[in-house]
Amino acid sequence: MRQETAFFDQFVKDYGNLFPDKSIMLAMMHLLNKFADAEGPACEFSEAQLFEVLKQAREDAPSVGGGQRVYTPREYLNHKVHSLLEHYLSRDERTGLYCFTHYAISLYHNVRKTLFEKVNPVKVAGIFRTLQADLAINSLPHWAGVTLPSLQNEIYQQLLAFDNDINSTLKQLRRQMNQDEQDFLAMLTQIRAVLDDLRDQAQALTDAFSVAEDIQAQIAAKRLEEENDIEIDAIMQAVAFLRRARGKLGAASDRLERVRPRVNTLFSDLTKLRFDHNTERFLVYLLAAEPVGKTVALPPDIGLPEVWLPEFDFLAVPRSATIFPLARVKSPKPIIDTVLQAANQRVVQQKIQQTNRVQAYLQLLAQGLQANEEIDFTLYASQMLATEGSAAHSILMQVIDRLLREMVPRHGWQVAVTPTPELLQNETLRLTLWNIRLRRPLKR
Amino acid sequence: MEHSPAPSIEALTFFGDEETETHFAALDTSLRSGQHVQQGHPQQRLWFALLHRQRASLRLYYRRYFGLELEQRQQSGELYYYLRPAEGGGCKVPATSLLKLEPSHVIVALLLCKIVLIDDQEFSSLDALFSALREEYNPYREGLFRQLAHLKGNQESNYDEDKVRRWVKQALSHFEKLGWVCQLPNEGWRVMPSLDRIRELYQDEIQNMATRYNPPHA
Repeated sequence: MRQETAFFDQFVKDYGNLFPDKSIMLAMMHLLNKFADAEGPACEFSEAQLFEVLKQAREDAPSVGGGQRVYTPREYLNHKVHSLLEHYLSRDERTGLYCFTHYAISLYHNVRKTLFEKVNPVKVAGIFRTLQADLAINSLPHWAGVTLPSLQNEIYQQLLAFDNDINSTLKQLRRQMNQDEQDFLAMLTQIRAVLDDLRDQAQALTDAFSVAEDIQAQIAAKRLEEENDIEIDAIMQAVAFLRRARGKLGAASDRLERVRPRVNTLFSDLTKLRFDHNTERFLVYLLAAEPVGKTVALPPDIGLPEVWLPEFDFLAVPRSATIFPLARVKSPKPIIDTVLQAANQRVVQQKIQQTNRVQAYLQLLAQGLQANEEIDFTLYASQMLATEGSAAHSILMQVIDRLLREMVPRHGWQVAVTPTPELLQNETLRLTLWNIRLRRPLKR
Repeated sequence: MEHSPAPSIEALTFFGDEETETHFAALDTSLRSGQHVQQGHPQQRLWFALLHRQRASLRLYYRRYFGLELEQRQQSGELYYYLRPAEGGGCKVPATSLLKLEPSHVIVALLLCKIVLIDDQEFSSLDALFSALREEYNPYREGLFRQLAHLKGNQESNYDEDKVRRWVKQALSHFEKLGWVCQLPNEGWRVMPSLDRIRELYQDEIQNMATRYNPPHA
């Protein structure tokens, strides 16, 4: 199961630190494929079953890097299980069975949807029409803060699916370069048809994006009426998203336009094709040669070519040391700026205060979970926004980070993340947060 | 009826070009230091136009005064030029300027030809190159590690990759002197069309490959 780099990078950007690295993601996809698809998301499985699937996942990725081979198989499995338990698996201490967290299930569905989503320009056109209609009915801040965020993921998924189609076609083309000439020509005919189809899709997507340009024009006209900084910020982000998405589509279309003539040229230039093919054979021949001692060596029947590379330096300009005598220069004294020092101290004080506040909120959460079996994190986040003013964003991010990295693994809490955005705001901030619920483990 | 004679091109005709005063010094330095000159090279773009326009006159100039041949080649529709000593002993520059490429340079150059010029992949950093090798060119990668890191079997360590990276980086620095690759401050490495020269140097061997060698895994 090979992950497409473009799709992976986009997910890393969207999910930040909560997105697993490639090997963990691969293991998780295997687990969910094996268990959740067959038995539903609430399925439970034993450690032996878990190890079996992880072994298969490892076989599926034999070349993920040299460093991993220092582990024994048992150490490798323990390491993977430990990493998965951070956010994606939970273990029932009583029965010893494992199950998936809500976060893992939602991430899996999102990844699968992106990987196997088919390009559908009609769907993109429909999304843009919905956005345009909503902009006519609702206020611009509502459109930029609520309507667009709820649909932009689908637009991006379509663009990623389009990009993935181009990538897989190009990979197929590269693989076919190694075939015999007759097979290659048959395959090339098929690839040319796929590329023509992709070009039609690119055109249809470009047509769909023309509505986006109308929307941008409407936004530009309406934006002048807004005075609130937070709302203007949300609108700017919406415009930036539309521009970014348009740029991505443009880049993919350009790549397609670069490749199509190349494929057509291949038909007419079989001499070049043979030469390329023989170059690959030649490279394999060189790489197959046995090294002689500690030196790199070519096969005995291959000589080394000569290139013309003369030393051609201008030496006319004398160095300063030949003109001026060497003089010792005193090292400069450090300049002590009292104003700067005071500012630095203030920054340090603010950081200490913030750390204390973060600790206090984490204690509040722990107390909340002692008193209740399950708590809604969003309520605590609202309280942070209400009391912390402009520092609320920084404090909230630190609380979430420490909660997931330290508190959840330490206390064995379960985290259920539902991708339902909830709007939180105070006098200076406005942000959307997914619904997060924390549950303490059942006592034995 | 008399025909007016066509203007004759001579070795010094290019001195009449209005851009010669501005760009010839840099062009001449570049060519006579063994660089391959092409339009796509960001530092050579300015003087490539002068070279291409005055190629006939410059060809005579280098042949007469230096005993060097100005060669023109094409790769994927992009032209590039370079100088080589004239055959038959007419060369007026020291013979020591001819350098043999090292085996590691040959291997890295052909590998870059395969990835960039044949497969149209791009890479801007060593990390990106090694990532592409790992994901899509594993048979080549294994051969590269066996040749450059003397790796036997599958016991590969981080140290081996560091060693191979050093070889590749050294080769890239050498190719930069030849104008086969260039390094841009914000964009990283870029392979130039003139890297195809390595295939020209091995033209006979490559053409005979089909009859001489059948690789175990192509």
